[in-house]
Order: sequence, then C-alpha cells, then structure tokens
Amino acid sequence: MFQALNITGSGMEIHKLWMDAISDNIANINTSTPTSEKAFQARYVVAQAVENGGVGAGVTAAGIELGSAEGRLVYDPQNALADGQGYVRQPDIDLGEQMSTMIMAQRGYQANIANFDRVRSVYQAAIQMGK
Amino acid sequence: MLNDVTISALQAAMHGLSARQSAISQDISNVNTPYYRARNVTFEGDLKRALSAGENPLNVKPTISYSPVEGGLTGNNVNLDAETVASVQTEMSFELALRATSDRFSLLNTAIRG
Repeated sequence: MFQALNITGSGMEIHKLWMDAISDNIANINTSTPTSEKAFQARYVVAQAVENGGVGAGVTAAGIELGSAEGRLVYDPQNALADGQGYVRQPDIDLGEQMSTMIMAQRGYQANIANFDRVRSVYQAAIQMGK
Repeated sequence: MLNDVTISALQAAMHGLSARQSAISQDISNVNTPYYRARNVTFEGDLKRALSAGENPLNVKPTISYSPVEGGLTGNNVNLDAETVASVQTEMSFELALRATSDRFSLLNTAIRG
C-alpha cells in the first residue's frame, strides 16, 4: 500500500545523505592534520537500487567510500601542527567537483519531491473514490 | 452485477498504472545511482487481449522490462525528462480510470436508490 511514496522517500533520503557528505567534504576542505597522521578523507556515498523482483523498492546507501588519506602536503610553517620542515597535510578535495556534485544531488532531491507531489495526488484521488 | 466487467477492467487498468507509477518513482529515486537500469511497465496490450478474448481482466499482470538505452557516464540510463512526462501521463490516466469507476458506481447507486 502506498509503495510509490516510500520509494520516492528513499530517493529523497539518499540525495539528502549525498548533500550531507558533500557539505562535510566542503567544510573540511582546509582542515590541516600533522604530516604523521592521515589527511581528512572525503566521503563518497555509494548508492544502490533496492530490488524486489518487481518494480523495485527504492534506493539505499550501500556504503560510504573514503577519499585519499594521503592528501597533499602544504608548506605552512605558521601552523601549530606543522612538522620540522614546516609542512602540514591537507585533504585532496577538488572544490569544483564537490560543488558540481552538490548541484546534481540538489536536482535529484528536487526531482524526487516533484514526483512525491504527483504520487500523493494520485493516492489522494484514489481514497476519495465513491464519494 | 456489482462486479461487472467494466469495473474489473478499470480495476486492472488502475493496478497496472499503479505499478507503472511505482516503477517511475523507482527510476526517479535512482536517477543518480551508478549502473541503474530504468524500467518500463506495460499492461495495456495484455488487457486489450484479455477483454477481446472474454477473459477475466483481473488476471492481467503488468509486465516489467528494462530500458535498452545506453547508459551515460555512470552507466545509468534514467531519462529524467521522459520519466517526468510518463509520471504526469500516468497520473492523469489513473485519475481518468478513477473517474470512470466512480461514475460507474454512481450509476449503480442510482439504480439501487431509484
């Protein structure tokens, strides 16, 4: 019953999770760590369709993949975390890539909301039948 | 009499349209899922055949097929424009079928009440 609403809900959920991950990546784009430690690792949501032998049952996050732990070395001798040579480790995150995937996630979320409205009006009409 | 072929046929159509609406929702919710294949639901042909052969339309099951279109960069072949158009068409067809069912019932209602 009302299966299509749950499917659309899972679509909204995965796109929101994706936006959360991207926000986290952008928020940490300048996070420095000592060279002896791992850099901040970008989060990538792995989406996977849920199959039920029929039309399917939505989408789920199969896992979160992490980006490069090596990052890149930045010369910043003023930084409190800098090593003997004045280097710190920063994440290897491409801001342009993050921003464009953010737009994709946003559009995906909007597409799901638009579909949710249509599905809801169909069910609404169905429960009014015979009145 | 309350379960005539008109109502059964409309019910089968609504069942098929509802499955199609779910498939469209599935496609849209997976619009960014890598390697996802879009699916189509068909039932009209089978329903027509069942009706002309005088079979019970309620035995018609919707058929699910996968879109053969080549996927894009991520191997996903969902076409959001096509899905949106299909979603609106399905919504309207469903409301049409609902309307027809309601009218059929109100006809019966008139017959009962006089």
